[in-house]
Amino acid sequence: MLFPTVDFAIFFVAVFAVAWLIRPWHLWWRVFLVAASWFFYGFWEPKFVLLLVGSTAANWAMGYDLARMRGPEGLSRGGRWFLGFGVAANLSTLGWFKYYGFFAKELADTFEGLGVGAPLPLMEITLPVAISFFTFHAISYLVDIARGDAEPMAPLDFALYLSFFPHLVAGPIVRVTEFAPQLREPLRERVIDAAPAFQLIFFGLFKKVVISSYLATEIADPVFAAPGTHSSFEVLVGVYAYAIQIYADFSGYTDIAIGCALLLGLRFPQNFDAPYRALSLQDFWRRWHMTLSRWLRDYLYIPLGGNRGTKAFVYRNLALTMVLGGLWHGAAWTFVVWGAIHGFGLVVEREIRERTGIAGGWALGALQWFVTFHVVCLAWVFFRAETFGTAWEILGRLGTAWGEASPAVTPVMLAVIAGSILVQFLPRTMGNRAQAAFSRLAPAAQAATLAVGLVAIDVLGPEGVAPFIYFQF
Amino acid sequence: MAQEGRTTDGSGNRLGATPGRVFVVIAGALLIAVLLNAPWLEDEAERQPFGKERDFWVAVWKPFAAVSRALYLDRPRAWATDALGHDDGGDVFELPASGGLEPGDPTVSPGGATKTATRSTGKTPTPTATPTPPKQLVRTPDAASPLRVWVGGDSMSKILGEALVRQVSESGVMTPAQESQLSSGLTRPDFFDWPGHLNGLISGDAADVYVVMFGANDAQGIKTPGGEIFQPGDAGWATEYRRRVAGVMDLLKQDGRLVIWVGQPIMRSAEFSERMAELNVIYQEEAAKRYWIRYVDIWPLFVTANGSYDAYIADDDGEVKLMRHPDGVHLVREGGEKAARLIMTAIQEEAGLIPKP
Repeated sequence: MLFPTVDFAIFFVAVFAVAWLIRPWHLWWRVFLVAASWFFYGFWEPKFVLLLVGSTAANWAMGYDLARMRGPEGLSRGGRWFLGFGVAANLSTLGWFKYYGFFAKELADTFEGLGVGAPLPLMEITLPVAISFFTFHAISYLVDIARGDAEPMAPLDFALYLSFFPHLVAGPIVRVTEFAPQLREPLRERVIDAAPAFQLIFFGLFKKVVISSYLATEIADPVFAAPGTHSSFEVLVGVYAYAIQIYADFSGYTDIAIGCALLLGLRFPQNFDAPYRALSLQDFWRRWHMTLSRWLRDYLYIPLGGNRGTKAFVYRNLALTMVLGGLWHGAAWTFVVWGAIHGFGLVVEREIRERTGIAGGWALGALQWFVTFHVVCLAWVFFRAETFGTAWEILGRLGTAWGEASPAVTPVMLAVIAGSILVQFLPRTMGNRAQAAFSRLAPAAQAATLAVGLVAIDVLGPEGVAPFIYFQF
Repeated sequence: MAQEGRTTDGSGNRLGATPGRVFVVIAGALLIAVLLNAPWLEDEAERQPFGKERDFWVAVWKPFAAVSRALYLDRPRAWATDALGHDDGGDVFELPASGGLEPGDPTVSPGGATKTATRSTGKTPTPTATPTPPKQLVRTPDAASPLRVWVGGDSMSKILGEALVRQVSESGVMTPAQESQLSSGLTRPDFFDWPGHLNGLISGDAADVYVVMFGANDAQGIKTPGGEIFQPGDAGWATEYRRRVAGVMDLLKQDGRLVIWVGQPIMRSAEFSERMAELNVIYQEEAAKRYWIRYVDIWPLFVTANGSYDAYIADDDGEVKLMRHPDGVHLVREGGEKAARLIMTAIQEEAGLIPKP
């Protein structure tokens, strides 16, 4: 069930009504939300609900045992092995579904070069929707318990933590320490922060259905499908368009998720914070997919050694974290290069900062923004291109076809791209004022405002629902 | 944790709403949105495959649509749609009567029915007479006067079309254009009117070569001009579908124009594969009656040695590659490239760029 569909609207209204009606009965409220989440997941492929339930049972049991292996000195030696086993079990499951085909093919190619047959059969394995996200939730749960940062949850709470439908498919990646207290807290006030929730859902839909779909169809998809048929200007605009498309698509979807959770009375952490206003790559990663950034920091970068050790060691950790982050996005070398560009960029940026000490000033700020945005776009070329050949062709085409006509680029398209970047520089207080004004309207006026907005999105959007980029991750 | 979303007034007081009030707002918003949008929701429901689910949703939206029209609530959206210049449906293009062959027309395609295709689908095309076809269907291009190649059709034509666009542009003597419409086909012109759209294309600045691919969305209920609805498997279904295929083929006829009709590949689902094989027979038989159509059968490109489906298939150089999408229907890039190479060969043969086998 995709968010921007009539199916989901009906599902959500029903869940909203029942969840708030039974909210005083704490146990049944949680049972209902778990059941609704499993129904939501089963809508795609019923058999994979078993995988979700299996992952829930196994990780809850491992979390319970890990807590018993903790002492005043921390986790026992056996506990550390057990934690390693738990993390490996989760990663193996993810690896089987997500990376088997990639590694079997790479092995087959290598062995073919040696004149030997493929060691692993080439099989088609269906990737269950959301497996990356619930695996990340499960790993963070186990590690947080092992570190003593979190206590084991009740089985029902853990089932809800792992499968709660708003974050199930594409995040945000919520930590157990953020989620568990909200389930334990008795309901003190039946109050919903409706205005920000509606704003998140409305602008999420607008970004996802209108902006992302328009730029994908009109320029990004054609340019990346056949760069050789486009002028340099079209290719440049196509790359910028993809940068906006993926931001609008992904941030739009998680905004809807955060808004839906808020309407159900549960708060999620923010996942995007105007990433294209970033003045450095470090700044970009504090604003882009923020819950993945902190996951990578806490469960990969710090265990690798983090900022401790020699400069070379720290830089290695940084680069390795980004490369593995790239590989998480997909089983392809182009994703590895995407991560490597960010990793290398972060290292270079640190080095420059340490050696020069960057001062302020608007001119320098503008230069920093320009360089950051274009490094991010360069990395997106590899992220989007299906092959290295296409990525190189895109980059090559940027310098070799400036004299050609650019009929695919329109003034509206340029305005959408420029507007999508400029809006990220607006102060957040504007949104707050709009929310306060919306809150003061009578219910009928609020309903009419939302209805007109929904119809406007439907008119401006394409026929049907465009595929959601982050499903594949 | 960020306090994202807590609304306060200027004095920092929380501006929340009770669940009851929020429910009224959500339900009210959806109700108003439905009333503003009901005729379009009804249209959308009517475009779904014929069956109980379609009937249910049409029945749901019909009264809302009636209220919407009666109270002129549908006007704002209609104005917005007009202002944006969006296509709002309208009448479906009427295909010419089938069998549009002119007296004296040759009746066999030079490459229409191949032995491989017959084997792959397991059906035999209708035998046809064999008068002499024109020497060359389309002119031989050069860099100064390239052939204009248009490729389009349903979602199956997207990846294949993208590969063909790449190969066409690399040829140096052809220029490409592509239009693929997801969920479209020939069964439901009320969803997307391909005959009408193609008629518009050839009426204007027409291409030299049209590469079309339909069928993956066509195994659904079909409505005859007389209003009868047939489901796939009914004899009436095949008759009506054949009439449309023949009509589109006749519509595209023009001296000096080549039309490549691409068949569907094998699918993972045996039942779906059988349906596609039946459609391929129709395409193949109708192509064989028309010299200006060259049927290209891509089915054999995507089967294993024993004729079954596999996502991993050997490429032309023998290297095994992932050719199919996880949905078991669509092609991925390598599959598109493989199919496009066969189509390129067909175009090059018909344009006299390479000899015919």
